This record gives sequence, C-alpha cells and structure tokens, in this order.
Amino acid sequence: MNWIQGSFRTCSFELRRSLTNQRIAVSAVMVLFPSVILGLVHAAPGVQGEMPVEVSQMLILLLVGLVTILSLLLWATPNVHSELEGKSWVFIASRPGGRVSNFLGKYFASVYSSFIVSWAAVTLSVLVVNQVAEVRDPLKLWSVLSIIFLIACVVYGAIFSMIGTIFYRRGMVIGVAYVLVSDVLVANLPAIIGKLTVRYHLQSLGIAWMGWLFPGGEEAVRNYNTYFGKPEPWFNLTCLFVMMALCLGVGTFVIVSRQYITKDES
Amino acid sequence: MPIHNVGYRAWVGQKTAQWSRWWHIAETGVNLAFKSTWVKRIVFFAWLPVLYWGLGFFLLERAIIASAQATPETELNQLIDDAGLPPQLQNPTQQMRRQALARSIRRTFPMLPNVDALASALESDDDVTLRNRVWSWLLLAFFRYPQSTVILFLLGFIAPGLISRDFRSRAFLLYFSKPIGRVDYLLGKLFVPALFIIFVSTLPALGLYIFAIGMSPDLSVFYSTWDIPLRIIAASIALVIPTSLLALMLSSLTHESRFASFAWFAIWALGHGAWFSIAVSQAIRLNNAPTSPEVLNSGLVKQWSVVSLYNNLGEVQNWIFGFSSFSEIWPAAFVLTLLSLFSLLVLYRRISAPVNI
Amino acid sequence: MIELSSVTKLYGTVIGVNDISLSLEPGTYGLLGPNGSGKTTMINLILGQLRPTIGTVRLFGTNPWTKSRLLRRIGLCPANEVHYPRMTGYDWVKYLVQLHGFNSADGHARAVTALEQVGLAEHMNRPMRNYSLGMRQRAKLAQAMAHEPELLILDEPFNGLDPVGRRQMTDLLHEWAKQGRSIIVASHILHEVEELNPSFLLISGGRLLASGAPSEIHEILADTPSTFSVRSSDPRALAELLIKHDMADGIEIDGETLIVSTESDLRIQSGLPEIVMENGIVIYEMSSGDDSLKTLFPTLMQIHRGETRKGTLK
Repeated sequence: MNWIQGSFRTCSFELRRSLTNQRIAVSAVMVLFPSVILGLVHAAPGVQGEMPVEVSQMLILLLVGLVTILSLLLWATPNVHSELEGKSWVFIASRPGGRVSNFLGKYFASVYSSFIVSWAAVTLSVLVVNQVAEVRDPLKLWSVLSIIFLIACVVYGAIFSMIGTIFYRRGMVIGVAYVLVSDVLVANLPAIIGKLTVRYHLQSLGIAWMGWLFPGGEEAVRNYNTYFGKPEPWFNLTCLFVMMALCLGVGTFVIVSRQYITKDES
Repeated sequence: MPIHNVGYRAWVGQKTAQWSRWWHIAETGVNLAFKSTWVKRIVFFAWLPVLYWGLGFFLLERAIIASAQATPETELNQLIDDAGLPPQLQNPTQQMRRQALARSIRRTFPMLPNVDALASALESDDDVTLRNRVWSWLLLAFFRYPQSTVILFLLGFIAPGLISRDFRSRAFLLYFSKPIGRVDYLLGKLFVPALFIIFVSTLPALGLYIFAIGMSPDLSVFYSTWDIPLRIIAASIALVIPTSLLALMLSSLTHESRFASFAWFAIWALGHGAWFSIAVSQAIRLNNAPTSPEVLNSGLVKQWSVVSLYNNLGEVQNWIFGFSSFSEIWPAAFVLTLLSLFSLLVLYRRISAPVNI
Repeated sequence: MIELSSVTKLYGTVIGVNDISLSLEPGTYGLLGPNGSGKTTMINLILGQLRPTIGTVRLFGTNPWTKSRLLRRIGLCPANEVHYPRMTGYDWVKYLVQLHGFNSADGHARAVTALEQVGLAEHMNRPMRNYSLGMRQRAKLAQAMAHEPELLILDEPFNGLDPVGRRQMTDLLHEWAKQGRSIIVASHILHEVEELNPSFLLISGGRLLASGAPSEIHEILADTPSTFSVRSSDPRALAELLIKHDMADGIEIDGETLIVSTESDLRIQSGLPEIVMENGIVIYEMSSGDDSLKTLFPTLMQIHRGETRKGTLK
C-alpha cells in the first residue's frame, strides 16, 4: 500500500514546507483573533452591563469556527491547484500512488495544522472568558470545544479537500461559497436539509456534551429541540464520519480519474 | 552591390499615445479573466438581481400612478384598515393613504436598512421627493446586498492571480522591456477588477434607472431624479477604488495566488466577524435582535463598525445615496481612504522593487 | 516496452497527438519535434497521466492509466520548472524517492547518490530558490534517476545547461544506457539528442512523421535542400566547378566564402572531394548550416503530402 506511506511522507513534506515566517505569522493572527475579540467584547470602552457567559461561549464557537474554516480553506482547498500552479504536479503524479498520496497527505497536513490553530485559539479564548466571566466548568468547556473543533477540522478538511480536487482552479472561492450556503443559510433552516450540514451535527454534539451553549435560556432550548430535534451523539458522530468518508472517497476517485492539464500542455 | 540593412528597423507606423497604453494591459487582463467559465457564470448570476429589482421599480411606478388616480372609497380602503388608521377618517386623502403605507412598512419591516428614511419619503405628498428617495433606496439596496456579495466572489476569482502570476512567471521582465512605466502597469492591472465591478454593479444600476424612467408616466420624472445616475457613479467609485486596490495589493504580496485569495476572504470575514461579535454581545445586553436598528445604532456597535470592510463600504454608499450625513460616516470614509492609500503605496513599492529572480 | 495503437488525444477541439501507432522495444530513443508538436502529450499518454481519446496505450504490457504502480519502473524528468523555493534539493529529491515506497534511510541514501551522480552533491542542502537553471535541471534529473527505474523519460533535459553541463549530462545518460536501461529523450534540437545515438521518433503537429536509426535520418537530411558555406583558396573557380558538375542550385560569393544552396546534400558530399583534388583547390572550412530539424520537418511534411519523391512512405 504505497499510497498510505506516501500520504504520510507528503504530510510531513507539506508541514516542513509550510514552516515559513509568513505562514507562522498568519497562523498566529488566527490564533489570537478570537481571544482579542472576546477581550474587546468584555472590556472595550463603552461596554455596559453584564453579559451572560453563554454569549461568550457562543462567540468562542463563532470566532474559533471562523478561523478554523479560514485555516482549512488555506490548507485544504489548493491541494491540486498549488501543485499545478507550481508546475510540480507532474513530479508527484508520476509516482506510484502519487495522486492519492498528494490528496490524503495534504488532507492530513491541513487537518493537523488547522487543528493546532483552532486548539490554540480555543485554549486562549477559554482563558480569556474565564478571566472576565464566571464559566461553570472551564476545563470541561475547553475539552469539549477542543474535541468539537478536532471533529470540525476532520470533516470540513475532507469537504474542502474534495472541493479542491473537483474545482481545482477556484477551490477556495467555491469553498467560501459552500460555507455561506451550507453553514450560514441552510443550517439555520428548521427542515431536513438543515440536518445535512456539518454545523448542525457539531452544534448537536456540543449541546449533548456541554448542555445548552447559547443564550436564550429555556425557551431557546425548547425552540431548538422543537425545530431541530435532540439526536444522540452517536448519530451525529456517525453522520459526520459518513460525510468525511464520502468526501474523501469522492475526492480520491476524482483525483485518480481526472486528467489535470497544466497550462503548458493545454 | 547594394547592402541591405536586415537588422533592427524602427517602427514607422502610427503609435498609440503613451497615456493609453495601460488600456492594453487592462484589455488583455479582462479577456484572459473572461475565458474562465466560472467568471462567465458569476457575471451571468450577477445580472439576475436586476430582474428582481426591475420588478420592484415596475411595481413602485404602478403604485405611484395608481395612488394618484385612485378614489378614496375604493381599493386602498383595505390598506388603510390594515394600517390601523382611526375609523373616524372617512375620507382619506392621497397623503393619508401614503402615511398608512409608510406606517405599515415601518411596522412590518423594522429590520430594513434606512426604513425610517424610506417611510418618511412615502409619507411625503410630493411625488418628486417620493420617487427620488424610493429609487435611491432601491438602488442602494441593490449595491449593498446582491452586488456586494457578487463582487466579493468575483474579485476572489479574478484579482489574486493578476500580479502574483506576473511575479511567478517573471512577466515583469517582459512588461518593463516595453515602453510602459509602472504607472501604466498599475493602471492597467487596476482596471481589470474595476471593469468587472463596473460591469456587474454600475451598468445594471444605470440600466435599472433607465428602466424606471421608462416605467414612469412622463419624462418630467427625469428632472426629479437626475441626481441618481451621478449617485450611482459615485457609489461605484467608492466601491471600485478600495476593493480593487486592496485585492491587487494582496496579489502583489505573493507569488502564489492562493495566499492572495485567502487574504482577500480573511480580511472580509475576520473584519465582519469581529464587528458581528460585538453587535451580538451588544444585542444581548440590549435584549434585542442583533440586526435591529437599536443595536446597530448603539455607540459601541457603530464605533466598531469600521473594522468591517463591508460596513465601511455600505456606510459611504449610504451617504452617497443621501441616507446619512457625512458627519455620521466620516470614520468609514477615513478608513476606506487610508486603506486605498496604503494599498496603493504597497502596490507601487512591490512593482517598483527589482524583480527577484 | 511501449505500445501505442492508433492513439489520438484531443484537448477539447485541439488535437494533441493524432493517430499515432508505434511499438518500442527497450533501448534509447530520441523523441524529436518542434515546440508544440505533441511530445509532452505523448509522454503523458505513455505515463498514464492522460487518457487517449481514441486508441490504446500499453506500457510494459499494461494500461498505464489504470495501473499507477507501473510508475515504479519509470523515472520522469519533465520539462516543467520546479518551484519549491524554500526546500533544499536534497529534501525534494528524498521526498519524491520516498513516494516510491522507500523508507527514510533508503530514501536518504538514494537521494544522496543521485545528487552525486548529477554533480549536485555540493549544493544539495541549499534552498532551491538559489539554484541556477542548470542546477534545477540537475535536481530534476536526480529525482528521476534516484529510484533506478527501468525506463527514464526526459523532456527537454538539456534546457539551461551550459556546454560542460551538456557534456556531463550526455555522459551520464550514456552510462545509464550502458547498464541496459531504456531512455526516451524528448527535444526539439537534433544534435543534442544525436550524441546519445538513439533511434529517432520524429513528431510534428501531433503526428509521428518518421522513425528510425540516426543513419536513416541523415539519409533523409542528405536528400533535402540545404545551404553550405565553403571557405576555399579559389572561391570563383570552385563556384564554376560546382555549377559545371550540377552540384549547386545557387551560389553566392562573399570574399573567400561560397554560400552554396543545393537540393541534395548527398551530391555535394560525394562529389566535392573529387573536384577539389583534381583542380588543386584548398578547402579551409566547410560548414552545413541546416543539418537540423528546421530543414527536416518541412521535408517530411512534403513527403507526407506527396509533394516530393525524395523519401518513401511506409
């Protein structure tokens, strides 16, 4: 199984390749962004009144989610395009199992580096929130959020990697469009289609493991349960696993069966 | 024996003027970008909202004409009832009917941007004011919502490769071996995204204006709305300059277009995400919806609005279409000016720097 | 080793290769053709990177499109520039070798050996952005050779190499061929490939125009219109003799030098020594300016179109 070894070699090569000052600076900005905003939300001049801790929790999810998505977009979607643009595709594709190694290796690298960013961002954010508000169980919050963002990286990484193989020239733009349509519009619809989104399942897992994470109290919980149901965590995890496996499967099939033509050849 | 000179021969034909040479760079850039099927799709998609807005103008004009012709006892009575006018008003005038409509809009769509300005225009018994304000409102909404989103994606497609590709392929050597300067190059590149923005926002907006004139009862309407095309052009300039310069600057900072794409989306997303977080927290403090006017107009939310590029563009366009005063939007205008100047400076330095081979 | 039957590749409405059939046994081959003639497309079809629109490709008896493990037996040095500016040559070659399934220690050993072979060992730990074009070319060759493939495919391998580098590259490829391994070298410059003494495949406009040994190619060239320049002790007398013996179709005198145009190289090559010796004319220098693809391909096209009887079609 050459491609399994090849995937790990590619992952390690990609991670070494990415250790540049610019990329480290970009990652640092993304790590710091949520905690800085959370600090501002609590301590900016002009802030008045108390803010429930649920709001901070929701903002952690929103802001860390934003940087996780951005990091995955940067790492996962250009899996083919960066090689075509750098004219290095043919070097990789002319190895046995090179295409699959490139796809999976870059997927692993994107999950790894994005999770490092989101985990560091979660850690800092929980620390900040714990300083300014009374979090009931900060360690539990940190653990649950870390697991949720790990799952998010694994699943969104697979989706973006698949997008990168299908729409290889404009993967990032299509990835942004996907997030806007799926996770901003469709996930809010109280209908079956809303349950097909990654956000719904991650949100359900968060609620199952942590209790109600958002503001709005009992009424909000009731409304949420009425519209979206209260699935068991195993169901959410299964759905997410199926999504990931499906996307990786489709991505592998596309990358193996597609004739990527560099501009020189076309 | 005659000796024929077969070496370099100077061009003896007519040359285009120096100032027009940037246009060839822009033209080539547009042609290249337009070869992409996805760009064609986005451009097609960008024109679809025109149908929706066109319908809006059509219905508005029909309503104005109908309201001028309607008798008090007939078709608008139901509307008056719905609007909750006191029953003692037995003989409502045209103004009353419009007031009822305005109140109805205020009550039904409190989240609409500039809903007060729109409602006030509707309350007016002067068709000139009404038309000017409502048309402006419709066109502002056209710029603000569908076209802003389309431009975000369109520039995400077109701009990242514009300069980074030249860096990577060392096309600078070719460009600057011709009699063109850095300003020509910069202008040429700048006009590629600019022309696309004009094509998907300015032209459809002007088209909508002409359509609305066509739908109105007589040409005198032009005299009450002559300022709107100028506002459309001004709003387009306010949109084109900062966005194009920013997108080009990002493209000039890297040899790999994916980093420029990433930075482009990250600036929009992180800026708006930061502002939205502040708005949400404020909304919860005020016990209101995050998009309600009360929250949006609160000091804290307005103060942090400048971190969102989307909001800054919206506020300046708000002012251009006459829905806010300059004193309200100067921070946004200042940020956009600063961003444009900074982008221009970086861009100029990057393309002036010796090419790193 | 390689078999193409009626292979056509279309990129939309553009034709990459057009109805090519050939069968190559192990050996050294020169794939010659002008830029844009379809050489790279043909290589990609052989490697299974592209799927033929019509026809079938067999590499070592198997369809390369469906069996990517065949690539273990092939080393490719593409014409593309490599763009990993921050990685060192060693890291890059080692990574690509490891994609063949070698572990880290073997990958290291093979990468170092290959980089030594191509003369890049001294610079292998420098970032590739500091490499000259020639050094990048050597690194590309190293990654193709490092896993010791049976067949080495090189696309324009001499690009960017200085004369010394070309000589080293040629010697290296000679050594490679001596070990019984096969080579396909794609190029648009005949004399670069000629030194490897390969069998030629001449491709133009996506069609395989001719194939054969170097002597056969020279036979065609000898029978094609070309121009010689001859510097002699008595250019005027030589000019008269050439006209008299019907060896030249056009002559220009430029000082001591005669520029002779002829419809057939062969006539001059066989007749000139005799007439200069009989008439006591001394030849100081003689050069043929057109012994290249520039002349060959139009002639081959003419032969294919039936416009000339100088060659025979199989």
